[in-house]
Order: sequence, then structure tokens, then C-alpha cells
Amino acid sequence: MVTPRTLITSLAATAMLAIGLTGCSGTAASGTGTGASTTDAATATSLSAFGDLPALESAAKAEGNLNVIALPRDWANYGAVLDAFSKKYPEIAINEASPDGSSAEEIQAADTLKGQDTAPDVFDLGLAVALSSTDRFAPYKVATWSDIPDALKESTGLYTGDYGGYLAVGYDPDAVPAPTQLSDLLGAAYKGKVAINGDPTQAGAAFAAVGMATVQNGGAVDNFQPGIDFFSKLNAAGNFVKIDPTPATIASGETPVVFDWDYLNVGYGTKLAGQRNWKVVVFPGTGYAGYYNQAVSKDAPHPAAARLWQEFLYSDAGQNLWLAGGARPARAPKR
Amino acid sequence: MTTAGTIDAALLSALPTAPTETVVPTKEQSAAAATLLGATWAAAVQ
Repeated sequence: MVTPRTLITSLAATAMLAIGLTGCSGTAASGTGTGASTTDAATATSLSAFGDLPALESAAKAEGNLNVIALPRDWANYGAVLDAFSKKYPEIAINEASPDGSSAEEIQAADTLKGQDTAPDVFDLGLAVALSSTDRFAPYKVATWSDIPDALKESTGLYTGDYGGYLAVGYDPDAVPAPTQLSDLLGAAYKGKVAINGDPTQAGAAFAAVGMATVQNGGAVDNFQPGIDFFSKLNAAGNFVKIDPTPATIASGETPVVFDWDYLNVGYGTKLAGQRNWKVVVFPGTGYAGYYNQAVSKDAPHPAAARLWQEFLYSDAGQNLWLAGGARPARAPKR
Repeated sequence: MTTAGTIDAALLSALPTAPTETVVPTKEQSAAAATLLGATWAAAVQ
């Protein structure tokens, strides 16, 4: 994911064979029965491989750690999601790396740290990066797989859409006029004021910003040229500011206009209440929607914990936490 | 979740209404767009 951005299982109390606390072999006893059989968590493609959720939970607790990366706590309610997982599974320490990293940086970290206990177990990725990184993923289908629309998931479970929203423009009404259409942002009132959330070749939200500009200019989503042309004009006009927006840059006035997902823009306003006025607009016409995708690293040092995390994210509790953050969960109907 | 009654209906109803027309790119469309962006973005905004 990117903050200029861009994420499942139990054994009964049976034998936990060959599981270390970190960097484990990924082999766990499975099922709620006698524990006579073992499951290689690293190759488990669904909860059934473990037997049931308590079996996966036991395997994950035995691993004791979950390595996540690029999950900003102020992104789509991730802070609450991480805290809820920790509260439910206090035996599993969540190690949060590079919270403001991009989707591309998640994959780079997996490559750089491969074979180490600190490598990412799971990914949360914009679609473009997910599509280009499937060789790094282990397929896994969560227990609620059938509730997730086909359009949001890779058929074998390599990656699965989890939460999303509409690309919107947030702005400080005390600094700029309220934009009512995309072309307004080309005007002199927005000089040096318009930012996108990252590099669109690496960051999901920025990619979507170009996509939104494309469809707002009559283009099709398989050809972003109209959107690229829009940002070229924005740059030529001196309105495009190449600063990755954060609540801090909004508070300081450096980025008074920000292309970002509606739930993130709403979150900025919530976070900055009392410091900055912050309005959010989804332009009329065609809306550009997108979902972030969860995936398990094929090289996860904690493969059971990685799968338990997936199960949690797609559980009723996990999905309602996205709603609480203003995002649209994959298992919720369109509204 | 809606059928099962496990969705937080209040939170769901509080979401902004979706635009009347919505585009959700397919995997193939996103891949094509990503290729074009990779080839042209830097020069477009340098």
C-alpha cells in the first residue's frame, strides 16, 4: 500500500510439532482431533488444511509473531484493526515495519529480507503492484471467500480485494475555492497546491488518481492517457506539488488539495479537526472505485500467523472495522 | 453479512452515496494502464 500508498486459522490443544517461536518451519499439527497429522502452514491454501479455526489459531500462537509492512495506523482504520487483532491474540506480537511505505516497497522488502525472520508475512497492495507480484504470493482462500465478489479476487486466492472506496479530492476551504469539477484544479487559484498520494507507478492511490482523471475526461480505464495528460497540464500550470501528502503536510498548509481515496480524505479531516478545515468531494460524473488487496507472502516466516491475519481481516469483525474507517469492505454490498 | 445481519448497518448507511456511474477497473485494464503509466508518467510531469 502507499501512504503515498497504498493484507488467517487452529489446532486444538494437540501436539504442536516442530514450531519455533520465530522463523519456524511452518509445520503445525492440524485439526481438533488427536494431533496425529501435521499441516505445512506455508502451503495451506484454506482453513480446511488446518482443520478448523482453533487449529490455525494454535499454530499462529505458537509462531508468536506476525510481520506486517506499510500499514499506516491512520489508513482506513488500520490502527483499530491492528489493535483488535492484538487484543484477540495477545500471544502474537505484531511487528509493524515501514508504516508509510508503498506497495512497491512492500515487495522490495520481501525480496531483500527473504529467508530472514523479519521478512513480511503479509502484504496490503494496490492492484497494479499485486498484479505484477503474484510470484511472491502463496494462494490462500479465507473462510468467507464465497462472500467476496469474483471481480475482487484472484481465482486461486493469490490476492483478494479487502476494502476500498472512491477516489476523491480533499481540500482546505480556507486556502482554495471549493472545486466542483476536475478542470477547476487547473485554475490559478490552485497554483502550487495540488498533490497526489505518491508516485502512480508505485502507489495504488496515486495510480487511482490518474485513473479518476482519465474517466472524468472521458477516457477508458485501460488507457490512462487522458489522465496523464490532465496531470501534465496541472504540472505545466504550476499547480502540481510533488509532495506526498500526510496529515502533517495538510496541517502545515503544504498540500491544501489532495487526490486520495474518500475514506482517507475523510480521515484526514477527522485527524485534523480543530487545526484545519478539510472538505471532501467526489466529482459528479463517473466515479473511480478501487480496492486494496491482501496477500500472503510465499516466504512468510510466520505462515500460520499470516493466514490467521487473513481470516481476521475477512471476518465480520474485520470487515466492520473497515466500515468504521469509512471504507467499503469487500463483503459488504455496494452502497 | 447483510443477510446474516452481521454488518454494522449504521456504519454502512453512513457511507457517502456512490456515484451513479462507477468504474472498477479489471485486472487486465489495470495492467494496461500500469504499463502506460510506467512508460510515460515521469516525462509527463517532469
